[in-house]
Amino acid sequence: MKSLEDKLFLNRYQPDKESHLKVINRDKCLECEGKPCTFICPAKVYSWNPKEKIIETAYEGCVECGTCRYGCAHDNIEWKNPRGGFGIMYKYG
Amino acid sequence: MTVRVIEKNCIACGLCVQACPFEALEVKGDVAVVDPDKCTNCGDCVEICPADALALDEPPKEMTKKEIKSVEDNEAAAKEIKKELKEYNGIWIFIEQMDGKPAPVSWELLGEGARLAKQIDTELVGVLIGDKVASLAGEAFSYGADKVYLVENPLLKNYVTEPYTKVLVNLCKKYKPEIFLFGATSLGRDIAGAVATQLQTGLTADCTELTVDESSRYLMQTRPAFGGNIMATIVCRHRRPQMATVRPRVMSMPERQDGRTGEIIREDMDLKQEEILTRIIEVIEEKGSAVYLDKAEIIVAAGRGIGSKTNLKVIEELSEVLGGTVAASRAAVEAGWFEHTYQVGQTGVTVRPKVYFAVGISGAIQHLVGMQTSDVIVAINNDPDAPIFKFATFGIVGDYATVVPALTGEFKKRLNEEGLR
Ligand SMILES: Cc1cc2nc3c(=O)[nH]c(=O)nc-3n(C[C@H](O)[C@H](O)[C@H](O)COP(=O)(O)OP(=O)(O)OC[C@H]3O[C@@H](n4cnc5c(N)ncnc54)[C@H](O)[C@@H]3O)c2cc1C
Ligand code: SF4
Ligand code: SF4
Ligand code: SF4
Ligand code: SF4
Repeated sequence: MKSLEDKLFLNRYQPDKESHLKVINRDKCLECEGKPCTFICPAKVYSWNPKEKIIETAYEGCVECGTCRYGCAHDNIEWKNPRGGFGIMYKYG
Repeated sequence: MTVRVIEKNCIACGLCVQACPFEALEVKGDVAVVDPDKCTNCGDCVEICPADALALDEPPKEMTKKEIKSVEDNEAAAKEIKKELKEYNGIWIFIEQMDGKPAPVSWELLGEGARLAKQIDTELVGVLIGDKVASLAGEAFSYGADKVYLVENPLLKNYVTEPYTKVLVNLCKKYKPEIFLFGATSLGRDIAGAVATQLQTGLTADCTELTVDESSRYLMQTRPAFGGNIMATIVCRHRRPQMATVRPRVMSMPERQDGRTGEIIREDMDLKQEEILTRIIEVIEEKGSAVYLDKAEIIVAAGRGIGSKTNLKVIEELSEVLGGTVAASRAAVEAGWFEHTYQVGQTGVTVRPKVYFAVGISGAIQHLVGMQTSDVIVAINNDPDAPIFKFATFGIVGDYATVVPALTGEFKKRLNEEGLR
């Protein structure tokens, strides 16, 4: 089976240099149980880095669905659309 | 006839199942399967598949009358011009130098040029211009040139587009070369474009493969396009010289034949300082490594697998011993171990070094597209199933923390023994 990354590769992106997704307060993540952001995102943008104890955001792969914004247990994600001209570009969407 | 599923491409997304108006498709396990009784070969699914996994076997297309006529016209025109083209002879190689130091790509091109020259039975010529560069002519002969056109002038000391272009254009007009090749260096790319437009001939940039068709004497110039996704072969039919720039390190270095000589033809060129609009004020040497990642010959790249920033040391040590440059995967950049300028991949830099060490990098497609054309890929990863091993020339399954220092130590020892460092 192909990996999720292989499938994301079929999408077209124009990634910005800076992330459009921000975790507001990293301390909240430390206590957050289950860390829903790491499994609700269809593009697996969020992952928990156990060594650095932070949520990493692979924002380049974001499909801009908005799920994480509502799924975060602590309203802890600052969600913006990428700047105009950046982000995902659906072809035959 | 039915649609064909190219199983290795199919990602079982199921889009084709929805698209098919005849319910002829089904996803079974990991691939789409066609029911030949239902499929009408309509092609609807082919367009929809995002993974190029479906194909119709096309019936051969017949040429329309109009198309046939245009081919005939073309050929008639080609014959007309051919007579004029016959005057053009010889394969020329631009011998690039800076402060009297030759660019190695010049010798690579002489090697390649010699092969082509033999095929169409013509002479191989080095074109050498600069100030006090005559000694390089000998080098050119030992790498295979039969003849060298030499233009020396103090105004040619440093590379400036205008006088260099003037000299090359005049030489071409006078001696009419059939093929003229340049290295695809910053200098070569600059001058080749200027010369080609003044001569109103065709130029193909950044070729990776050259062949010559013996009967028509066309130079088949092959180069990657669309970021390496397709290879295009380009031919210049009606204009001469046929010009191309060729990527450094793609052609192999010919063997040096000491004592080989040839004919030097000196040309005087009337150049005036007032006529040159560009003036060099200062030459500043490049420093820093990340900025030149795409030119590095040896790259040691680190991924998430190295675990933390403090572990970067072993990566830097390996890179240092080999005289290489460090680089990173996105995950390593995300973790804050590297600046974004070090990222290799789809959204980072595309590199093509001689050797690429991928340390603790899984080999996600977005990373691979930035480095898979490296000559040699060495993967070091503790997961034997990591995709990177499918692309690696050499793979070492193991913990980087033991493998990398061992490699560094051994390289150090060998390089010392051979007195290379
Ligand atoms: C739109 C988009 C653009 C992207 N652009 C890029 C890009 O330009 N460049 C890029 O690199 N990625 C890019 N990515 C991300 C890419 O898909 C991968 O997520 C990323 O390349 C993974 O990096 P990695 O291999 O370092 O980390 P991982 O996938 O986490 O791999 C780490 C590897 O290290 C190994 N490992 C762990 N411990 C050790 C050890 N002790 N010794 C040896 N090996 C060990 C593991 O087995 C694993 O294979 C992009 C993604 C998207 C969606
Ligand atoms: S769900 Fe929100 S609070 Fe919890 S780990 Fe993710 S970002 Fe942090
Ligand atoms: S918007 Fe959707 S795709 Fe983007 S990070 Fe949030 S959940 Fe993932
Ligand atoms: S659309 Fe293409 S990739 Fe998707 S299931 Fe059909 S054949 Fe496979
Ligand atoms: S070619 Fe047409 S009929 Fe055949 S599987 Fe595809 S969509 Fe269905």
